[in-house]
Amino acid sequence: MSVTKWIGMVFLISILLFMLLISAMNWNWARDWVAQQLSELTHRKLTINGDLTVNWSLAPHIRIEQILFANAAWSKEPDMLELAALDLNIDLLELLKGRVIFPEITLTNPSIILEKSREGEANWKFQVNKNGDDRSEFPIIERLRIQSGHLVYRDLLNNTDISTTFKTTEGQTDGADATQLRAEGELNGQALSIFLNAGPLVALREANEPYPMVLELQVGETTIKVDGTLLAPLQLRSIDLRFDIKDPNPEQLSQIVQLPLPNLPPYHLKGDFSHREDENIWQIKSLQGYVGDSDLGGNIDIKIIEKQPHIKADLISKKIDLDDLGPLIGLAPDTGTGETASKTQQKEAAKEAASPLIFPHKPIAFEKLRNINADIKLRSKQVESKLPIDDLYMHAIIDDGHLILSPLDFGVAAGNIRSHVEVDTRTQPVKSKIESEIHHVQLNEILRRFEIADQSAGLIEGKAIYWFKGNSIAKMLASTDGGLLMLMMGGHFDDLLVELAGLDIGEAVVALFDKGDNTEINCAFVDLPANSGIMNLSTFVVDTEDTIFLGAGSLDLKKERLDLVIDPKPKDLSLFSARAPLHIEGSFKKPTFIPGASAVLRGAVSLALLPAAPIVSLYALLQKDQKEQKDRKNDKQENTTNCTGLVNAINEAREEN
Amino acid sequence: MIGYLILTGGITGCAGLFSPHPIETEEGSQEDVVLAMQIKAKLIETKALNAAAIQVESTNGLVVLKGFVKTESQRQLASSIT
Repeated sequence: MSVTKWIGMVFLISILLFMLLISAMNWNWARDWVAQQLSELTHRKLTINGDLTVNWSLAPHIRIEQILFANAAWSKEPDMLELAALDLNIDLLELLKGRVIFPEITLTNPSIILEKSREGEANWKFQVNKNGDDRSEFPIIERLRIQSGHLVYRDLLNNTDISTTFKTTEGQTDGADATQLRAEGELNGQALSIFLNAGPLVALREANEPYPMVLELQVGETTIKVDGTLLAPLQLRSIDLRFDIKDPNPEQLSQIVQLPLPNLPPYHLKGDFSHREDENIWQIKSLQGYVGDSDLGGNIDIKIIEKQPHIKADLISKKIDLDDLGPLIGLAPDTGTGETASKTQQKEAAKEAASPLIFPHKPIAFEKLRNINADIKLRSKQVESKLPIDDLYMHAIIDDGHLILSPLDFGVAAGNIRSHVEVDTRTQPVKSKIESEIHHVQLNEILRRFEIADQSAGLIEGKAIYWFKGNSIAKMLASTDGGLLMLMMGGHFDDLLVELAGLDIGEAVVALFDKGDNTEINCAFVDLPANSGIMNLSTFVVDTEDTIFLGAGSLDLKKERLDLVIDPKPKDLSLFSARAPLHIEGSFKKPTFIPGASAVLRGAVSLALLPAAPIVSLYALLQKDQKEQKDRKNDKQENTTNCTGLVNAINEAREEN
Repeated sequence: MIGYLILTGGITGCAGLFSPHPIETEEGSQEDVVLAMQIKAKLIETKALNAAAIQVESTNGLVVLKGFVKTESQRQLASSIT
C-alpha cells in the first residue's frame, strides 16, 4: 500500500472512531473540516451547506447534503459540481483489513459542468497538493446509483455545447442496474443528440461480464445506431455489436469528425461489428446496405499491423451503379432524377457538363493508396451504366501504394473484357498500365443498349496494352503508349444506318454507302498503336460484300482532337460510285463529319498494302485464346470464312500488282 | 533481312525511343510491306508478347520494330523473331 493510502486510511479510521465516541453529537463541525481539507487539496472552494449525518452499523451509512464545488475563475458558472446529496456506505470490516470498499454510493441530483475556455483551458484540470495519487488503487464501489444527474460539456473554441442527463435505473428484468444517458446540443457547430442505455457504471471495470450497450447517436445529418456488448470496455478487450450508419451527407461527417473521408455518395450501411484485442482484428460481417445507387454486402476484416491497416474484403453487390465509382477517378456522377448524389457531387457534375473537354482533369487521390494494405474482391451481378456493361468482377490488391487489379472483368454485350491493371503510386507522376482482352463482345448487343436493333451478331475480339503516366485521367491519356488490335466478324450496318440517317451526322455516314449495297460485315480489322498520347489508325479495314472501307488518321488524346478519313472502295469497279471519303475531325466532344472530302488518305490507299497475314494470325490467336477460356458458356459457331474472304481479296490484289 | 529492334518500355521503364531514321513511307515496295506484315503476324502469334504495341516497318529489307514491351526479355524475344 502506498503511503498516501495508508495515511488516508488512518485518517478515516480515526475519524470514525472519534465519531463513535461522540455519536450523539451533531456532526456538522466534521463537515466543515472535511470541506476545508478538500478545498486546500484542489485549490477550489468546496462547501457543504447541508447536514452530515451518520447511521451506525458495521457498514455505516453517511449522508452529506448540498455539496458545492467551485468552478475555475474564468468561467461564467460559479460552480463546477453541485450535489443535492451524497450517500455512502463504507464497509468497516474491510477497512480494518486494509481495503476501502463502498458497498453502495448514491449521488442525488449531481450537476456537473465541464468546460474548456476560449484559450483551451479545461476546468477539470486543477493542481493537487499531494503527489502521485495511486489511481489504480481507486476504492471499490460495489453499487453506484445516480438519481437524475446532469452534465454540461462546453468547448467554446469549437462550437460545442452538450447538455446531458444521466441516471441509473433499477433493471427491469434481472434486477441489475442500468445506466441511461441522454445528450442534446452542438458538436463542432452541428446538432448532436445521443441516447444511450448501458450496463451498470460499476460494471465498466468488470473484466469478465459482457457490458451491454444500446446507443443511438445523431450528429448533423448522420445517424449511428449501435447495439451489443463490450468485454472490459475500458480496455476494449472485445466488442460485439450490430451497427447501423446512415449518412446522407458524407462531406459534413468528414468535417465533424475531422478526418479525411473519401468523397462518397450518401450511404446507409448495417452489419455486425466485432473486435478481439488478443487477435488484433476488427471484423464486419453480414454487411448490407447502399452506397449511392449501388447496393453492397459482404464481409470485411481489418488488422492493424505496425500502425498500418490491412484490409481484407469480400463484397457482393446485386447492382452497382458505375456512377458511384466515378468520383474515385474524378468523374462527377449523373445527377438526373432517380440518381443519388450529394451536393458537392452535383456541383461537380454541372462543371463537367459545361467544359469543352471530356477527360476529367481532377487529380485522382492516389496518395490515399499509400499506407494501406488491402485485398478486396468485388462481384456485381448487374451493372448500371450508359455503357453496355452487364456484370463486373474485380480483385484488387493494394500494397503500400502499388495497386493491382487482376482480374478486372467486365461482362460486356454478351462477351467480356478482361483486364489486368497496375498502378504504381510510389513514383511521381503515377505510372499505370492496362492489358485487356476483348472476347466475344457482340455488336448487336451494344447497339441494343442504344436501342438499335440488329439481327446478326458481329463478334468483336481484341487485345490491347497501354501504359500511362499521370495523376489525372486527362494526364494519363495524354501520355498513352501502347496499342490495340481488334477483329470483328459478322454484323450489319443496316439498322445502324437507319438510325444514323435521322441524325445530323447521318447524311455524311450514309453517303459512304451506295443504295442497294449489301451492308453485311464480313470482317473488320483495326490496328491502333499509341505513342505519347497520339493514337494512329495504322490499319482500319471493314470488309462488306460490295465494298471495302479503308480508314486512316489519328487521335490526339492530349488535345482531345481527331482527324480521320474513311474511304469506301467498291469491289466492283465497273459500277460507277458517287461516293467519296468521309472526313471526321474536330474535338472529341463535338466532332464534325465532312462528307465528300477530297482528303488524301495517309498510308495505305491500296488493298495490296493491307495486312493479310496479321489478320490471319490475330484470328488464329483469338481462336486459341477462346478455347482456353473455360468459363465461357455460350460457344457460338463462328463463321470461319468471315475473314478469309478479306484475306483472299488482299492476296489477290497483291498478285495483280 | 536484318531484324533490328529499338524500343522498350514497361511499367517501371521508360517510354519508347525512336529510330534514328524517320521512316515515313510514301509507299514502301511490295516486298517490304509483305515482309513487315509477315513479321507482325509472327509477333501476334507469339503469346508471350503484346504485339498490339509493336509496329513493324521495313525499308529495302531493313526491318525496324517500334513500340513498347513490358520487360527486357520481351524485347529480346521480339528482336529474335525474323
